[in-house]
Amino acid sequence: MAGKRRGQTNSKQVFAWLMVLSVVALLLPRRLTDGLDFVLTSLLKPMTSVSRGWGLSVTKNLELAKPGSVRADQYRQLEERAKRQRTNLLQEIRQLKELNTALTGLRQTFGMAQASYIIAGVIGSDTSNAHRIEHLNQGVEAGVEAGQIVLGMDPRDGSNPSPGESISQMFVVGRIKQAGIKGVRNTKLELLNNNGFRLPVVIEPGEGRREDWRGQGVLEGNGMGRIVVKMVEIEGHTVQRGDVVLACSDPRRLPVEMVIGSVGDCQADRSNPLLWEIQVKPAVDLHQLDQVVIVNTKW
Amino acid sequence: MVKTGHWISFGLMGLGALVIQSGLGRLVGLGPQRIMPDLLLILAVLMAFRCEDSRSLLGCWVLGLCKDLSSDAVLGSYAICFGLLGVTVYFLRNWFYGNNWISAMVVTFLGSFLVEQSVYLIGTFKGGLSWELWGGSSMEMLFSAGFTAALAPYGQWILSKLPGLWGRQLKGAPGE
Repeated sequence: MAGKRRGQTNSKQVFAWLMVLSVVALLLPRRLTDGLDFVLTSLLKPMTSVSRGWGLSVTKNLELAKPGSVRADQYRQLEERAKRQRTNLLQEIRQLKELNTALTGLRQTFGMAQASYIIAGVIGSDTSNAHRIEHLNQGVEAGVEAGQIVLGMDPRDGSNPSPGESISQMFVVGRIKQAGIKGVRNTKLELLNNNGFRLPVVIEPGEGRREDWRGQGVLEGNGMGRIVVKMVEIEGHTVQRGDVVLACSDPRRLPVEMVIGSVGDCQADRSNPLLWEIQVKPAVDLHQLDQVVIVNTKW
Repeated sequence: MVKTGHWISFGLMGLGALVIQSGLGRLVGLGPQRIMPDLLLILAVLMAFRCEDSRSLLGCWVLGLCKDLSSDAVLGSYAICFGLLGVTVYFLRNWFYGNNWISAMVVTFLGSFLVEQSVYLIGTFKGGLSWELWGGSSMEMLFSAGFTAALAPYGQWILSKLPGLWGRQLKGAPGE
């Protein structure tokens, strides 16, 4: 009885000290504590990968139609995907034309920077609802750095992306938040819909609109998993549902503009009626990613 | 004397919850926002609710630490909040007790919402979260708390089928 009471007292004392330790951890700078996340995630990697793979296969099978039959909504999804892929190809053609012009003039510019692609598997998600972050199985040794743009492919277009051949089938899904620590192959991918995510974007008219304009804005993850674009310069044109949202090319991050998704809804911004608040529908289901491609411009 | 078997069964349950939360949480999340339940919090609340031994408080802290390390939250924030939640439930549980699952659901709901709010508050001071997004995030926390509370009775059922953690389980504990 006395031993049990002593055990209880000890556990309460240990608990009190652990709470004090937590307060100390809170006061430490984040750069000192961030590395610990990667260690635990790496230890859990084999188990979370298996459970995630199993979950993906189950959800994919649920969505598959019987052979020979395609429902109307599936047909529309396929059509939309084909349109987005076409937009990616058009951006590549645009960039190649620019390259051709530049080469003809025997000029070399930063805008033509080439990139290598690092393939990474998604091994797990952030366990908190407040953060939309996925863990990838590549680290600094593979050339991963914070800020690099990450592309994803719809699992229904194939499970293993092969850079070069299928890059036009890929869409921007986020950015590397932290590249992990040496010796640990683990990286944090911040998804487009993470709170506070920001990325410069361009909006172009969708397929059916015979207009030629481009509006610039900043894409933001805006709580509740929503993705919005604000501050778009309309220049006499209205943004409509179905218009295309592209990530701006940046010689340091993304050599060519790539599709993020399409406009889902467009309303005047409540806080500033001069601006539009445009809701973006991502081209890829951000939480069904199996493998992704990290764009590395420093190769 | 601490029985090793209790730590092993706690470890296995905690590991299972963590693996499911990290590997499957978002995939099976509700709605377009993919709101997921907090399995670690369910385990912490039920442990503090059901286990006679105060060592369950240590378990709550460990579960909070696991959540800290498997999320982008500031290290220590979930550990403190889970610990405080564990203490609150542990010392007030005789007030909540009843032979039904509703009390556990209510405590889980309130616990989940308050823990997430507290962690968000800490995040705004240290982790780069912004006040502008607090409204949307709070709605998300509310839905997540509801989802978590809805799963609490299933957690009770599972715990009632498994060997007790840290001493015998209290009579009249929910799910008994």
